[in-house]
Parts: sequence; C-alpha cells; structure tokens
Amino acid sequence: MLAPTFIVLTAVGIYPLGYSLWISFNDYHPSNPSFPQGFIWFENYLTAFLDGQARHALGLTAIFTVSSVGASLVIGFALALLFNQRLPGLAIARTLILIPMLVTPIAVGITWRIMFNPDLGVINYLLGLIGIPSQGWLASMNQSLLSVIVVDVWQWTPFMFLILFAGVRSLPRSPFESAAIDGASRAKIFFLVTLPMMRPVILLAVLLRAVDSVRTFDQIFMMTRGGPNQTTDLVSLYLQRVNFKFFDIGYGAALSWLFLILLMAAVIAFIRYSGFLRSAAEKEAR
Amino acid sequence: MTTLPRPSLSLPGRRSAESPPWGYRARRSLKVMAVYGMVAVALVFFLFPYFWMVVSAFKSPGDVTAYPPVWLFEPTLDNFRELIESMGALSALRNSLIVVGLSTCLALIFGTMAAYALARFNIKGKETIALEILMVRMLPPIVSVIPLFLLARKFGLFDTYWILIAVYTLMGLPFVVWVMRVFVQEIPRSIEEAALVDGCTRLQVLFRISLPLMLPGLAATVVIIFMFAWNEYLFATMLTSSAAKTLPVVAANTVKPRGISWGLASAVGLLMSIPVVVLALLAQRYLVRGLTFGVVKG
Amino acid sequence: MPKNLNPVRGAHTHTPSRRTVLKGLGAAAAATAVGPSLKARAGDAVNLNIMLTNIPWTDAISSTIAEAYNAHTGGRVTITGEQMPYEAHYEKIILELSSGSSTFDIVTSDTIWIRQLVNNNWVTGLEPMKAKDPSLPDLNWKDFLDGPYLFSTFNGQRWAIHATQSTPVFVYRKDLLEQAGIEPPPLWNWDQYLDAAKKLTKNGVSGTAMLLGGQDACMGDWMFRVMGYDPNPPGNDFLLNDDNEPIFNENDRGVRAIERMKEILPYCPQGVFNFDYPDGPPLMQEGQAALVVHWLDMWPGLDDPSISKFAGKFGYTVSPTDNVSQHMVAGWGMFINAFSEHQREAYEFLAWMLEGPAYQMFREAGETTLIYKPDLASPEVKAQIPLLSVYDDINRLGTTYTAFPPYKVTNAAEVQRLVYEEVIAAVAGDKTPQAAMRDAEDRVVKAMRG
Repeated sequence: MLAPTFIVLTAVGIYPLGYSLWISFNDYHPSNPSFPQGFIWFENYLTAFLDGQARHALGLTAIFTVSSVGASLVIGFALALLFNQRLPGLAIARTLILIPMLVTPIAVGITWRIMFNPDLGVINYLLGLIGIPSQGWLASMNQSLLSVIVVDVWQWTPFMFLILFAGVRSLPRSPFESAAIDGASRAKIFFLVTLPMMRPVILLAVLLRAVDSVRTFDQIFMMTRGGPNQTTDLVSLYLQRVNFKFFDIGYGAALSWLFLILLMAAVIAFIRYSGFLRSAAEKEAR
Repeated sequence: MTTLPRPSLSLPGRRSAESPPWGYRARRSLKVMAVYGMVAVALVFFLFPYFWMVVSAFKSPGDVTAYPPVWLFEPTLDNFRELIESMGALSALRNSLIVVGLSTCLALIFGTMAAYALARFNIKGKETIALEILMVRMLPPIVSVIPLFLLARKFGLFDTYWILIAVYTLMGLPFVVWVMRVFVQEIPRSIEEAALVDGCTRLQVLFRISLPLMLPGLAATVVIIFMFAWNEYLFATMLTSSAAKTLPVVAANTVKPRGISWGLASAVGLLMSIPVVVLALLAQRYLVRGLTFGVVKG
Repeated sequence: MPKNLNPVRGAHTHTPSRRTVLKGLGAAAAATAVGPSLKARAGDAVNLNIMLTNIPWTDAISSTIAEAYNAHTGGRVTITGEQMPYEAHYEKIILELSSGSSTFDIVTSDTIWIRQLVNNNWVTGLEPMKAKDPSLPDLNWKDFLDGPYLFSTFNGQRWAIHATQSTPVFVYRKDLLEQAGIEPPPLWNWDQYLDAAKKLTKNGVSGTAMLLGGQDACMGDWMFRVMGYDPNPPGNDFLLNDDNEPIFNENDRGVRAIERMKEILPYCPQGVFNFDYPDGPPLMQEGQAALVVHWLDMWPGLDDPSISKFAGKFGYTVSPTDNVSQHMVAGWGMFINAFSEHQREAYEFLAWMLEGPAYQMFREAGETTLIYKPDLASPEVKAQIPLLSVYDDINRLGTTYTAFPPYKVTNAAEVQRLVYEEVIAAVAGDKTPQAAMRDAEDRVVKAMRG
C-alpha cells in the first residue's frame, strides 16, 4: 500500500533530489556556456562556507522563523482559548478568522505592500487618524524584517489556531474539574494542566509551521524583493537569486543541500528532544 | 473520539462557589463582553487586509491609488473584465480546478493508503520512512524546478496538466500521511479483524469500514492540501506555458513592471480566494475535528 | 539540433532527430491526455508563439496585432503571445533557450539580456538570415529611431527589430515650481535640482523621489547621475570597457553619483527605499512628490485626468547633468529563436511589423516609448502624449545617444545585481561610497568568469 506513494516520491521527488545532489558537485551555468562547467568535487560547498551573504540570509531566516512561529503560537493559543467559549456567533467568527491562510501568497504580498506604503498606504493613514506618526514599514531598514514577520503572522496564525483549537476542543474535562475543585488559580490550571496536556499538539503545530515558514518566498518577494539593503534577504530569496538570476545552478544546489541538512538536523533534534514520534509509535504498539 | 464530552465553558472552569449570585451575574456579563471585545479585535486584525483587497478589486485605477484612501467610491467590474478578456483568467481557472482537483484526490488516496500501511503493518524503519516523507516538504522547491523542467521537456509533459498534477500530489502527500496516520491509529483493530474474518480483503476493509471512520480527517486534509496546491506559483510558472497555465501565474502577471495594476491584482486575489473559502466553509464542520492529530488523548 | 539559418519551410522533410521524435511522442501522449495538448496546429496554419513581458505594447501583440496579421496572411499564420512578469521572463528565456526548446518562435528581450541571447547563439539574426536567403522580404528600417539598435547590431548587421525606446525624463510639477518662484528647466545641473527639491519639500509634498527598491529602477537613478560627468567614449558603456573591466568609478564618477543620491534623500518620501517602478506613478499622480527623473515608459498615466489628480500640471524635459548631457536609451527587441521550427514565418512577421501599422497599434494600446518616426512627427500624437516633448529638448540641445548599461556582457543581469547591491549599501549609509565602489569593482571582476 506504500507503493503509489513511493512511485510518486521517486518520480517527482527523488529524481530531482538526486539530480540536484549531482549538480551540486559541478560548475553548471546554463545561461553562459562559455563559463567553466563540469565536475569540481566539493568546491561549491567550500565556497558556501565562506559565503557571507549566505550566513547573513541564514541569520535573517532564523530570526524570521523563530519570531513568526513564536508569535503565531502565542496568538493562536490565545485565540484557541478565546474561541473555546460557548457563546453565540463565535462559530462564524472562528471560520472567518481562517480566511488569511486561504489567500494566495502572491495576492497577500501585493495587498500588504499597498497597505504598508508609507506615503500612500492605508495603515499609515489610519495610524495618523489616532495621532501616531507615519512609519517606514517595508521601506525602513529597521522595520522591514518586523513588517514581513507581521504579514507572516497574519497569514499563518489561523493555521496555528486551527490545529491548537482542535487540540483544546478534544481535551478531556475531568482534570480541569478536579483542579477547580482543589481551588487552583486560573494561571495555575493553565500552566499545570492545560499546557502539559496540549504539549503534543503544540509541538506538532510548531513543527508543521516552522517547516513551511523557512521556505516563505512569494509574499516577501512581492513586498520587498529582499530589500531594502538586504534587510529581508532570507535564504529562500538568496537561493532564488543564485539559481534564477545568476543561474549558478551548481552553487545554488550546494547551498540548498546545506540548508536542507541544517533543517533536517533541526527537525530531528526537535523530534528527539520532544519525544514526539515516540508517543505515536507507542500508540501503534498498543 | 467524537463521543468525548467537551468542556462546557472556558478552560479555567467555573468558580461559582466563591461568588455571590448577584455578583456572579455581573461578572459573567462583563466577561462575555470582554470575550466579544477580544474577538472583535481579532476579527479586525485578520479580516481588514482581506477587506481591503476585496474593496480594491472593485476600484478604478484612479481610486485604488488615491491618497487619502477613498472609502466610498463607484464600484467597477473593469478589473474582472480585464482578467477574463485579456488575461485568460477563465481558462486558467479551469486549468487550476482540474490540476488541483485531481492532484488533491490522488494525494488523498495514495497518502491514506501509505498512512494505513504505516499505522497497521510492521514495517522496518517506519519512523525513517515517515521522516523521509516529511523531508520532501522541507526541500527548497527552487532546487527541484530545473530538474523537473528538464524531465518534463524530455517526456513531452511540459505545459500539460500531468506534470503539475504529479508535483502537487507529491507536495500534498506528507500532510496526508501525517494526518491520516493518526486517524488510522484511532480505528479499533477489532472491527477490521472481524471484517477480515468475514472474508473481506484488506482493500475492502479499508474502503468499507475504515474510510467512513476517517471522514473528518479526510475532509480537513482536503482543505489544507487543496489550498497549498491552489496557491502554488513557482512550479506553475516554470512548468507551464500557455496551455496549462494556472491561476497563480495569472496573479503574478498582474504585477506589471511599469504602470499600476493594483486593482487587477486585488481582483485576481479575490477570485482565487473564493473556491478555497467555499471549500473551507463546506468542510468547516470537520476542520476542527479533523486536525486533532489524535495527539492529545494518551 | 538544426541550428542552420535556412528557412525552415522544409522542416518536415528533415530526417527526424531524437528530439523531434521525443517531442512527437510527447505530443501524442499529450493529445491522448485530458486537457491541453502541446500546441494546436490545425491544418496548414502556422502558429508563432511569442514570449512577452506584460506592458502596453505587448498587450497589442497578443490582441490587435495578432488579429491584423492573421487577416494579412489570410489565416495562414496565427500569433499567440504569452505575457509574463519581468523576472519570470528572464527565467523563462534562460530555461527555454538553454535547453534548446522551440516553445517560443520569437523571444522579446530587454536591453540587458540581449548579449545573453546573441553570445550563446540562441537567436538567429535578421540581416544574417536575409544575407543567406535573398528571397526573404526586405526590412524597412528607415521609419524608425536608430537609438535602440545600438544594442542589437553586430558586425554591422541588425539582429532584431526593436519595439520601443525608452530614455530618462525629468518630470516636474509646473505649478509648484511657479509657486516657489523657480525657473523651470530644460537643462539643470544637479545642484539646481537639489536646491529645488529643498525648496519644494513642504505641505506634505516631497521635493523629489527615487526608486531605490528595484534593481533595475535603482540602477537607473544611479546611472542618470553617473553619466553626467564624462562623455561616453566609443566601446564602453560606463560600467565596463571593451575588455569588460569595470570603469564605473573612473574619475570618481560612481562615488559622485552616490553622493548626489544621498544628498536628496532628506527630500524624498518615506517609502523611497522600497519603491520600484509601479510605485513611481501613483506618487506623482497623488501629488506626493514634485520632481522626479525616470524612464519615459513609466509615466503614461500622468496626464490622464481619470487617474491623475494633477493632469496637465506636469512638465517634461531631459535629465539634469553636471557636465555633459547624454541621452541614455534602452528598450525591448524582438528576436527569432534559433531553435524555432518556423523561422521563415517569424522573419516575415517581423518584416511586416516594420511596415508601420503594428507600431501604431502599440500606441493605441497605451505605449509611450514610440520609435516610429511618422508617429513621433505627428502633432496629434505629440498632443496626446506630452511626454514625447522630451525629444524636442534632446534635439534642441544636441544631446548625444548612449546605451543603458550593462549590456555588453553575457551575464549582464548578474553584473547589474552586484553593482546594485553595493550602490544601495552606500546610499543606505552602510558603507562609504568609496568602499562600495571598490567592492563593486572586485565583485564585477570576479563575475567575469568566462
């Protein structure tokens, strides 16, 4: 029964993977046949280790991912608790709140770019009405990264919320009742009962979101192209440039592989540390 | 799992013992107001940009860039007209529906089968397999574009539905496997075993007995993988030309290097969001139950 | 792979190559598949597929011009245009042509990609084709501006037809200058420009603006200033000399240009570091900035009262300069794909375009970067497109032509990006202009791997 999955994986997944691994040991410039081409062992990988631009991009990506996933976890959790009330109208509101994650990233990028425009955009206009001076947002070297994080949080908190809300909904009732009878404070109940019980859901939500977040491209490309002065030049944008503007395909593949290895290491460490898969495996053993 | 009681009120529970009845009432209505207040704030934050996009879609080029922003204006359908008449949005819509619809179905079928196998059979190194499937999702798509382009060209698949269907099926698989695996774990083995004894084949068991139990998970998964494939741009632009062009390519095409087309971009954003929003509304009942991943209950 | 320049009429009589067999199999597979087959080739009609960016003149190609040409050939040739965003266009050129694909018969190219096409033998030159096969129709060049052919003439032969020519235009608000008591240009120097920007920054209006957020747009802003110090010696393009060595900071002109950009930063709108081409026009239409210098093709809407609040209040002239006035040109060319199976038909189509009416259809579609002389001479067209008055100033001042760099190297898009990164770092104050120029020179030298 694994067969169809493996066929698809091999045909469209493994072949490109193998190809890019092979190319990463080559000089390959399809845009310039007169440039050096051919097998060069580990030269691309050595270059990558000395590439300041790649390190810069990696640092920005780390900040971007950690802040965006962290913020959407906190907001998503708060929303999950908030929407867990039995009050009329909340079910509709709950569905409406999912809309951002359904919108095409390209349209998201364009819309926010227009809204963030410091001179013509609606955000500075509205802030002006309540007396807040206009901000540079995407155009400011200090605020651009923050701004793209805001957009990522806006778009993907609903996804986080959805998973966390499902988790909150399926929490058994008895531990809360006994804690309440014991007279525990709300904060205590939250930290001692709710959080530990939600741990697996939180871990899964963080894992799924982080894996997608590091690849964010369309929105940021539409909003800043990695600028101004490379303050939002994440790994995904740098990879795009090396591959599709410089057409330095071998080097681009080497960079991608290094990035993938780093990411895999982080994911495996995360899974090991959190004991996330173990619980699933145990369940099957039962 | 559906039979579990849900907490009837907020998590922290009621503490009516300490509150005198009259005070409790007042505090409760205060609390309800606070909840609605916070919900309103959340709705404004999450819906305003969408609202702005929808509004911009109906603005004329003069209104869409006007500063201060105009709130009352004469709505126009010009943007939609241009999308359909000169940007080929309708054929792109058809292509998108076929490509994304088929790939969603395939990913769902293959993924559920794989999830079933992973959950039910003793396969050596199944955690590694699960991890490998997840790895596919982590690969920067930019590296697979060029090999896939060459592959597609070699086999005459360039600018056909097939290549995009294959790619999107692959993209959706990890999510299906990871979500559905949990649902399979939740299905009591005894039911299946009884059916096997009665002479059903493994496949019959899957389709007649297990599948109905997995429905909430399937519904939720459909929304998520449909959404990711529906909005995918990079492969769509590189692996198609005119014939199999999908909607995200049209969306990107509204970004013109010179001149303005913000209204057009908003219109295509709105147009693209409609099918996914409708799908999400249809599956709304299952979305929450479907994504529990079963990880809460020990 | 048949790379010959012969007319491809007899393509069907060739012994099929491996590629065509594979393609045939692919077509068969696709035809039996649900949905779109490769390309419908009904009957004897030949379809010319054209790779296009998404700007006004390309709208015309895929609509009015396609219809007109179909009628002209009596249905023998159909035209399809595929429009795409600027970045995707470059990516497609490389992916398609480096793999020898015949998906597109005609490829359009921005100035800086032209050497990529030609140096790699990815395109077939028009005049070389005609020289080999005199039965091909003559090409009528005389009705068009020569400027853009700076880029696509090799060994005295023209390789492409050009669709447009763009040049920097100094756009200013006549009413604001008058209120401030400033004598309007033509030829200003950059001190006068700075002075005016200072005086005009008030009441929520910025004195000037730049487009620093886009690679090509920002390079424009910098080059408009770089070019004002020395005349352009033949063979160099301000960025690279004949041996492809960097010369953009000879006599410190690169540094001086950066300083010129930095000095007007305080008089620019807040969004200046994220502005790209699409952000320029709304800024002027909404009256947020008083002066700006940028490419001619950006401003078609300024005098349209339905989208511009200040229609009729704009003046247009040549870019300011400190020493010499040069008239930089860039624009789009149309090339025949060397792998196309319909090279003869493609040639005939381009020859037909040079007869003129197609260029009038460009204008009707809203294009302002006209090169068709009868259009440029027509008083009606001039009244309709006030921007074109910039050419009157150019002619009056005797300004000389020069080309928008970098265009002389195969990897021009990469070179432009490297220089852009350094220029923007200096303008943003991350580096001194001197250090940025040194780094830019180092990086450009390294990028000349070939």
